[in-house]
Amino acid sequence: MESKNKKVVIAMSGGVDSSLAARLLVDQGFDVMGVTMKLWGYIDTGGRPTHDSNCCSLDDINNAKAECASLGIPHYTLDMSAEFKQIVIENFVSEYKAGRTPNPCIICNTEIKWHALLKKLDDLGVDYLATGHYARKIKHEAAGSWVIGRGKDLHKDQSYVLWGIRPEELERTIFPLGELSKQEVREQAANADMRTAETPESMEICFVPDNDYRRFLGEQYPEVIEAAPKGNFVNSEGEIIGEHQGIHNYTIGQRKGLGLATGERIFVNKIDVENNTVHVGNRQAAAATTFTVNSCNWLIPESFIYNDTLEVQIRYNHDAKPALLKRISSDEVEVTFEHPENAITPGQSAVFFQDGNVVGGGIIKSA
Amino acid sequence: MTILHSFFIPSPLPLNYVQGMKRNDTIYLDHASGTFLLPQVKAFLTSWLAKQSANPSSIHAPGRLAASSLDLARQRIGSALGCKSSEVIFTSGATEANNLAIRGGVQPLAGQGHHIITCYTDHPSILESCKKLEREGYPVTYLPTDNTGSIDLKELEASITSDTVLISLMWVNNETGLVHPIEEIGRIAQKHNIRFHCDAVQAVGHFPIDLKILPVDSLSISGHKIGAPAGIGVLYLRKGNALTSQNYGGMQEHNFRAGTQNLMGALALAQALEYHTQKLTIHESYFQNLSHHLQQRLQTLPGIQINRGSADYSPHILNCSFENVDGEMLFIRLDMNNIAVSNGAACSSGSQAPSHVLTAMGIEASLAQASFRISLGVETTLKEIDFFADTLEQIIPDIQRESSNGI
Repeated sequence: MESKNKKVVIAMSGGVDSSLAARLLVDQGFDVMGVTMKLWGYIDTGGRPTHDSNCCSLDDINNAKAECASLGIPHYTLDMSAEFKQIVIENFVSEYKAGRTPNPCIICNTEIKWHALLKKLDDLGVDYLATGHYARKIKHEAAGSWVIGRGKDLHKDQSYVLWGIRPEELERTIFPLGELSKQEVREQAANADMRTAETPESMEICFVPDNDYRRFLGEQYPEVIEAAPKGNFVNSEGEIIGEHQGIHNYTIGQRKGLGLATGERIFVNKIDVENNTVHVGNRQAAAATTFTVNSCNWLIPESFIYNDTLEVQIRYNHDAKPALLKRISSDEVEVTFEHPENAITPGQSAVFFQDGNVVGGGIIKSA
Repeated sequence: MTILHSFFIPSPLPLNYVQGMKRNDTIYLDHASGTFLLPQVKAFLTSWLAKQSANPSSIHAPGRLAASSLDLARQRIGSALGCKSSEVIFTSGATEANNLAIRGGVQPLAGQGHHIITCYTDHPSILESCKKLEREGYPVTYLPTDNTGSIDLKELEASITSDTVLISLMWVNNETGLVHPIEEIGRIAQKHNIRFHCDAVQAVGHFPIDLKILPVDSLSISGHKIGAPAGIGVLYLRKGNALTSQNYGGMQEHNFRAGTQNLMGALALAQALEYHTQKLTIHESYFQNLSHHLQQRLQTLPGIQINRGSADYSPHILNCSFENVDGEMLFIRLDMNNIAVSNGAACSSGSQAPSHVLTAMGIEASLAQASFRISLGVETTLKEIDFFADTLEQIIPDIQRESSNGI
């Protein structure tokens, strides 16, 4: 990639990853501009108002600003909180309301960090968007288009959360950290005396800093909670064995917090929204081979997809497993694993890997 | 190109980055946020830094020398403002002076009443002090403004109750330049025997300040808005008014403000105030001329709204908005063109929230989010204004087109 005179925007959270990514781009000779998106405020989310290691706090904005100043590049803060609320948080709430388990980070990447940001910055003549994700951009030789390779540091690999990037936006993307391990990133940051070298890892959903999404829904969307009636827990024999507290409280595979005394390990297997029923049983009963996905994004033409065994990853910490894909309607694809998988969870993303690279993905509709 | 100003670049920086930067040259139109040191202040500071100074509270010879320097600064400020040197309280800046005037002003008056009157468009250092007092049980009236930003003096007078102890209204609004009729407000306050505090930060250098005749009880000014460094400010407090210190420690500043005084800042502020007092008449016509030219150039731009009405405005501040423009994008484009103005809607936390001043004036949110403030200083030139207007002429149609394409 010719870096001379190419203008790159680096999306900066104020953490070590995006800060080092900015530094690497400057070293490579790009014309770099740092941007921090203001996505939400503690005033709108609750949680830990004094906790400052999550994105969008003033300290993080100031960290990003200071890193840019020390690199001699401009930094701007863009208030994207209206878009974030309208797209990401609304989706998060409506998915829980529908008894599904959303992954808001994926929607945020797809619709805010890539789509809305690039659209906003287009008139500044921006050539590329860069982020501090641990992923790689790889050319799919047969298709001639870009796909997403796993980050070299497999413990930090974030390719799973990037499946939704539109192909034309992936074309304009740079992942400066793809070839680095987290340890190398921290070392390089420390060697360059960067103030962000020791920033903590962010693990939670950024707008639910205390990791308690039920608290978030209850405080911010009380009408959703109030409108979610209690219902029945039903076991695999179809017997009612208890009362649940509203379906938004449960996710497939959940074991804790059910309040059921059955004397055996019991898991949520299925959430039946229509009948307001939560089905529970042992882990085997939850396993399935086939499920459907919708809202798909393809990084290569679908002709490369259906006649090949792909590997499909169904949640962030899942090891991708072999599966065949089949289109069953204009907006739905059926995935069939070679062996049954536990906890295939509606609302989560199924990501399709071919030769180890992300070639597409979709949202799990039903198992 | 025209006169450009060099800015401090944080170091240490590897040399190649510094050379790669195009940011040493700026059209600076944000003087109301902080203006350049006056040349004579710069010369004074340089000579001062070459010497040593003791603590003015120390009783040894070097301390007495420092105390007499501080006294000199106080006298010079008193002469420039038309007040006694004993009525000058040094603070760290106008925010502290305003906080002290509000909180420290109402506390000793608790026996007489609690009610405070200010207005929606006042400075955050006033408004936040009032809100804090409100939570502590003090009733506060926030006067509304009309679409020019002016308050209604009849409404002011009507809102006075037997419980009212303080009226606080700024002289020149920092976002729009609107001028409040300070003398009339002061006379209303006098008539009802109510203390009147005036934030005069943006008035210094543009309006004559003669405290012998000006009917105010307290008044705040700030160093870095008038060519002295940041970190120094003054609260004038008319003799006979009680005040409760808001910090605890030594007995400095007549026991109104504990803490070692900023002697260097006090001397610099005295020098800057003297300069502005002397040059007031010359500057008045200079700023009128700049302001006239700026408005002439801007008013032809497509979709512009100049946020003024038929009222008095200080010539050094101009607030405007653009229709169909993403305010953040406009600000970034100006910044990329090395033009520094104040993004009216941005706050330090990154939120692009419509300004409380423009909102109070009834300007709709879509225009308020695309507003910015241009503020002129004594070093601003017509050429700089032309460069700024030329740049806007180029970029506004671009941004308007992109915005109408559905951002």
